Order: sequence, then structure tokens, then C-alpha cells
Amino acid sequence: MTQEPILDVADLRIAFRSAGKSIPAVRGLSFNLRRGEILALVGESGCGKSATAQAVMRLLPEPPAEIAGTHALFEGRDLLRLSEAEMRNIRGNRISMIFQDPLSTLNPVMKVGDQIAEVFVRHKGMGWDAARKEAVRMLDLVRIPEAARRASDYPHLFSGGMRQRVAIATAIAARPSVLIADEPTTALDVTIQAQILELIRSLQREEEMAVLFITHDMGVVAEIADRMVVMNGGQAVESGTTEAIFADPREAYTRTLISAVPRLGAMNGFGQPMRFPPPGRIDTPPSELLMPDTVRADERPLIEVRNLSVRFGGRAGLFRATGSSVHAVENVSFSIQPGETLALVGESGCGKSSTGRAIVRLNEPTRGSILLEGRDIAGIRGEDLKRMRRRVQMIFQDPFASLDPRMSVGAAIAEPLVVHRLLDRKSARTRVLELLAQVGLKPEMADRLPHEFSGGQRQRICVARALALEPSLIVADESVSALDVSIKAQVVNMMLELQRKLGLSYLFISHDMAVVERVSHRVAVMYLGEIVEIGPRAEIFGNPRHPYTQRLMAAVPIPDPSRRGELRSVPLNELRSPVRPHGYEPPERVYHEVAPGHLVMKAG
Amino acid sequence: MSGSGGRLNGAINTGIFVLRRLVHVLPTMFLILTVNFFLLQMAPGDAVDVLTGEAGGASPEIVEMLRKEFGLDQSTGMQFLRYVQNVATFNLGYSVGYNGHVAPIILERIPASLLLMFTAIVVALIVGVTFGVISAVWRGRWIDNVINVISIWGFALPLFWLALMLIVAFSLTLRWFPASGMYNVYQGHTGWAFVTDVAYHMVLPVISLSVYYLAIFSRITRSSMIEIFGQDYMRFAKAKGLHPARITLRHGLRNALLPIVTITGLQLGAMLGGSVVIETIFAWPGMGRLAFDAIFRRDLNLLLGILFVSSFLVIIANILTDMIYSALDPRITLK
Repeated sequence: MTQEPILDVADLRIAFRSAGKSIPAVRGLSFNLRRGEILALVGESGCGKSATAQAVMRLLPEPPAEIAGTHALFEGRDLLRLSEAEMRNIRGNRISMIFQDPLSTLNPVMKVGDQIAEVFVRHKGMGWDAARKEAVRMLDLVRIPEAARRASDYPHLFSGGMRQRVAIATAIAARPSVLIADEPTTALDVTIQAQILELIRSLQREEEMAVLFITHDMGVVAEIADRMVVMNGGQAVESGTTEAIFADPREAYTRTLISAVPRLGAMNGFGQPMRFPPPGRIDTPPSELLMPDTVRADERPLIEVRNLSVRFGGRAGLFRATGSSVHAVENVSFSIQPGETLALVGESGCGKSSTGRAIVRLNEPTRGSILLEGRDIAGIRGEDLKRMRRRVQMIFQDPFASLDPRMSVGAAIAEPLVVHRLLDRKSARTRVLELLAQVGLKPEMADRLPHEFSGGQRQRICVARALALEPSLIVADESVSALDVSIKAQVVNMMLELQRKLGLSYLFISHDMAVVERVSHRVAVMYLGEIVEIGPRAEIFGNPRHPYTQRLMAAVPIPDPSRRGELRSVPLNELRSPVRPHGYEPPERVYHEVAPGHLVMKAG
Repeated sequence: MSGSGGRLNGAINTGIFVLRRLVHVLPTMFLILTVNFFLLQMAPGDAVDVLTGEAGGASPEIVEMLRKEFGLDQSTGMQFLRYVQNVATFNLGYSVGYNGHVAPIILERIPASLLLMFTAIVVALIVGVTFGVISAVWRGRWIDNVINVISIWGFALPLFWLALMLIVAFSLTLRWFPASGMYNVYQGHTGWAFVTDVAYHMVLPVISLSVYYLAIFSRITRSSMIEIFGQDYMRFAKAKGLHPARITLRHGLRNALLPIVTITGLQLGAMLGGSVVIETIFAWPGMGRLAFDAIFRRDLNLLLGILFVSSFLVIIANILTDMIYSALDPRITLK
């Protein structure tokens, strides 16, 4: 690795013109990327990191974007001042880029091989036949099994992780000297994330590329970056080698970011859930953060799920003899005590959301029973179903999508009260104000519309709406996953506080192991629709027994560069599919009790 | 699921799909036939009224005799049964007005109609999609505004009015194009001369018929292209360094075609209706004008036959649309 910068950005300024005003996104950012290194641009949403990446590639439409600055020198040329035609020869050729969402990055109606081959045709002057052969070589390089066969498949036949590999293959096809990766693993599951990080790093070494890695995740930074630039409000607040900054962060903002990253194992030795330290008080002793025991273990379980199965699709018919169905949830059993949080963890497609949705009856259970306070709610309808929904409420992942954009948040929170005819309009209003206060929002916010709130505030509104009916159980489906780390910490703290005050139970569905460790009393790990391991939180995290649980834990990035590489052992394999032929019956499962309440599925 | 095995599977799937859809055609056609039959029964007057009216009246005995001869004296139920029986053997009955069997009369007219409609659809698609892409690429500029004005006109102008104005302007005043017919009967052209003669006669009817669809295709293309411009894969295509023309056409338009195919399929039936007006105005010897005549002559059998054949054409066109759609979109498999 030489010290010579390949990309030298000086005093970059980006603004977006909107309604006659110029809103600055990046204010005088300088950094340089050296040959063959991985530099991370880190910050929370809106800090200008993505705008920076796109400005360097000149992908931002101007207008509305306004880009200025001293220079962005790349191989002796100033990217900020090249013509569009000159930029076209650089893009995809000398500097490439991959994006966050692999599901939407690839053209759905073009064969993946052709999408890669396009780069060779465009930049290397190859004919299509030669380019397609090269494309197969690239697919092989990013370790897609059976590359030659898969090249003529369309993107929808690939999983998210595989599609990100295809995108990477496309980006590095022309052997660029710089790869810009904009949150390339944010949309992926942890085990897939670990594989993609590993891939980027090994390709970076083999091809001697420099990588500009844009992320909000300090864990990922510690895993991959040689140096880092921390951004806040469009400016660099701190930069240096990753080791140095993690060892001794000088700026308060950097310290907050690092401390806000949930660390696996941070809870060793504590029995109860624990709040995140409040902002600016990172050094709060754990004893102050630890929650009191809220679980009422001696009472009857609030909810008991027995042998629940949810299957989708696949009715056989006259011309549909070869029906198959998705066994989303298979023979799942668990219970939750009043005041207890059970976390349901696993990767996308494992059936954790389907389980949650079956409990609030948004999915129809195919088999099994769901006992709410002793009464089976699996088959109820009409008034019974309505009464049940007062006791069980749900919060979703995307708070913007789950609020009506044209309804004031006050009306949204009051809606359940009105629908269930609990309160008249006037007392509903009073209740709304109480609820807003309960989730830490101001009463005057009731008349505003959802778009006037930030992501974290919107999720608080969704919590307030769920609380309106005074439920005993809240199913929280990835409810904090889309939030920035500092906001995530606040919303989690609020949920813990509400549990203490109101004695709520949570079914906390998440793929984020570190948050799960903080909030839950017990944890159930799901894989391919089945629970493979369930038990007290301390047991699952301290003594994971099922190979899948162990793999999941190993894949979580550790925000500590000195422990880099510990997650290398993650094997390259995809989540298998829960699609089964019609009439498939799952094998009888046997569970071991390895410790009190800690059950592990026997292999087989 | 790729390579030769995939292609073979694909062919088998398509085969099964077509077979299944064809099985569905039968009950659909029966339903259409039933509804049409009873709807037309509700209309006052019958062919005998028209025949005797044209002859300047007839005695009740002769009217009675004619009704008996045409089977119009029987109950509606009996008439229906007999009609269904006939249709099942591909006999669409006897046309009183044209003095001949319905089926050959219609078959003779189908090619002219299909030629007109197919040409109009193709013109509307080519021009409309081009307009749509241009206005999406340069949205907000003058060219977009011009195209928007044209498509609003296209929506708003009544079909018959546009056709009449075209005749006034280009046939009567400028004398560039003929105002009626499909070919010049006096010249007796053959070979290429005949083809150009027909093309020459087609210009005005095709323009009249296609303007409305052109406007629709232009709007749909514009809005779906604008939506697609915001997609991540378009940004990724740009990040590959591709030329804007390739990004717009190969990545953008290729995806925008999907909704256009859907709309085209839906509009085919409406176009049959439009062709009645156009064929009548331009004296085009197609099914549309035949339908118009059949209505005037209370020629129930002929009208029923035309409706029957038209609905069959629409159903076939919809099956074709679905097949084209699945060929364009790899995510759709025919079921």
C-alpha cells in the first residue's frame, strides 16, 4: 500500500435547490483515498455521505443539486469539472459504484450475464460474444455457483446476497481503481453481510482497488476499513486510522456513535434488559441502566402458541397438479408471560414476521392454536376478533408507510379508539395528548401530518397508536431496524420504560442480535420456519448450542477493529428455501432441554 | 432453469397455458352469445318489419308467412335453442338483409377490418411510444408541452368529427387522399400497384382511428418512463458509464413497455367499436360497416354473428397480450 492518494477531494460543497432555497448537504468536505486502501465515510442519515459519493461519480442530477468545491482529483483529472462525455468514460471503468438495495439495482428484464457484459462492450470495446464469456468469468470471480448456467438467468431468480454479488461483479468488471460502495450490506442479513464484506475485502486485495465505503454502521467500519472519516451535518468531524479512532475517539460525536453501536456480549452477567446510555452520558454505570424485573412469572401465560403453522399458496387444481406451498411457519410453539419480552430472531424468510402476523391474525394460521389468556384466538372472527385486537397490537418496520400521509397524527392515534367505540371525539382528544406525552412527544404535535416528523418520531407515533387500546401484548416487527443508531437507542429505551410502567409484554421480532440482547428476557431463534433454539436471553447469547444460532452470532460485526476477522469462519451458503411440494409433512422434531428453559432442536 | 432445458420447459408451459385459456374460451363465448341474443330480442321490430317496410308495406298474411319462414313466429326460448344449435355447428344462420349465409359474409369482411385496426394500432404504438419517450426525457421543456397539447387533443376530439374534418381538408380541399373505399374499383390494380392503392386509401381512416390511441400510449409511456427514471437500476446503468440513449431505450423503455402492452390489450375491444364509426364514414368494406348496416336492417342474425366473431377476436387478442407480456417480463410465468 502506497501513500499516494488516488482520489483527492478538497472542500467539496453540495447543496440541493428546493422551492427557491438552497439547502446545503455537504459543507466543505475534504478527504483523500489512497491506492489500495478501504476508506469508510461514516455518519447517520442526512450527514451527506451518500451525496458525497454520488457527487464524485457525478450521478446527482444538476439541478436540483449544486456541486462546487476546490477539486476532486482522480488520476490527475478534476472530476468536478469534467464534461459528461468524459465522465462516462470514467464511470464503470475507472471508478465504479454499488448501491444499498441489491433487489432494485439490477434491471429486472435483462439477463444478469448481459448486465455485466454491457460493461465490457462499453469500456473494453469487446463484441457481445466475448463480453458474455467475460461476464461468466466475473460471476465466477464473485463466487456465484454454476456461473455459466446462472449468467442467462434473470435477477428475480437470485437472492439478495447473490444479487449484490452480481452488482459487485458488474462494478469491478472493467478493473476500476476505485470502487465506491454505498451502504452495500445494509439491506442484507448478518450472515450474508459477513460474506459480502469478506468478498469486497478479498477482491480489493486481489485487484488492488481502493474502496470508498459508505456506511452508518460502526460495526461494519471496524470490520472492513483501514481509515475512516466521521461525518456530521455535511462536514468531517474526525478522521484517521480505524484502530486509532476506535481506541481513542477524540470528538464527542464519534464517541456517541461508537457507544451507540450495540455490542454483542455487552450484557454478560446481567439478567434483566438494559437501557442504552442517554446521549452525552456514555459512561453511565450499568446499574443505573438495568431495568427492574417486570416479568410476572407466577401468573398464567399471556399468550401461548402451540404447534402453529402458516402456509401460503400452492393449492393443487385441474391443471395445477404440481402444487407447492411456502411453509412459512412450521410447528412453532412458545409462550410469553405478562411483562415479558420474547425476541424472535432469524434472517429474512425464516418465518419470524409470519409468526407475528399470525398472532394478530393478519395471516390466517394453517394449523395450531394461539391461546390469549387461555382462549384460543386462532379461528375467531367478527366481534371476537375485534375484542382480541384490543389486547394485541402491532408496530411495523416502516413508520412512514404505516401512517396515512393525509391524516394528522392525532387522528391516526385516535382512530383505534373511535373504531372500537371506546371514547367519544372529545375524550379521545384528551387521551391522544396523554399518549403523545407517554411516547415523549409534545401535545401540540397532534395536529401535524406524518411527513413533518423524523423517522424516530414517526415510530413513536406508531407506538402511541398501538398503546391507545391499552393492549397487553405488542408485536413489534423490526420496529427499530430502519432507525439510525442514536434514534434506535432512544426508541428502545422508551419501549423498555413503557414495559416497566404499563406491564406490557412484547413479541420483539428482529434480525438485529445486538438490540435483541438488550431488550429481551427470552429469545427464540427461527430458521426455515421452525424454532431451532429457545431459552433465556443469557443462555442463548452465552451458550448458543444450535449450529445455526452459533453462525448467526458469529456473523454480527464487532465494533472493535482489533478483533477484526473473527467472523471469517462464516461459510458461503444461502438460506435454503421453505417452499415445499404439496402434501409435504415436516419431520417430527425433538428438543433437548440443555438448561432450565433452554431448548435446542436435535439435528436431523 | 435456463439453457435448453429452460427453453423446453418454457415452450411446454406456453402450450399448457394456451390450451387452458382455449378451454375457457368456450364458456365465455356461450355467455356472450346468450347475453347478446336476449339483448337484441329486447329491441323493437324485426327483419320482416324492415323488409316489408322497404317494399312499401305488405298484407298481414304475407308478414305472417315471412315470419314463419324465418322462424320468427316461435317463442324466444325456441329461437335461442335453435341458434345455439346452429352456432355449435359453425352455422351462424341466414342473413335476411344480404340474402345469404352469415358466416361467409362476415369472413369476407374480416381481412379489411383487421388490416385497418392492426395498422392503426401499430401506428398509434410507434408514434405514441416515441412521443411518450421524448416527453419523458425532456419533461418540462417545450417539446414536452407540445406533445402534451397534442395528446389532450387526441383525447378530446370526437372520432367522427376528426374523420369528417380530415375528409374536408385532405380529400375535398387538397385532394391528396381519397375520401372513401379501400381501393380504386375502376383501375383494377394488381400486385404492388394494388398494395400502394390500398395504402393510399388507408391513410385517412388510419389517422382518424389511431389518434385517440396514440394519445393514450403517449401518456402511459411518459408516466411510466418518468417512474422508471427514478429506479435504482437506471442509476446503476448510469454508474456503469453507459450512453444516455442506451440507458433510456435498453434499460428504461424495455421496462416501460410492460404497462403499454397491458393497455393495448385492454383497448383492442374499444377499437372494434371505434372502427364501426370509421368504416362507415370512409365506406371501408369491413366488419364495422357491416354491423352498422345490420343494425339498420334489423338483421338480427347478421348482427349476432358480427358480435360473436368480434368477441372471439377480442378474446384471442387478450390471450396474445398475455403471451407477449410474459415474453417481455421474465418474472411472469404463464399459469
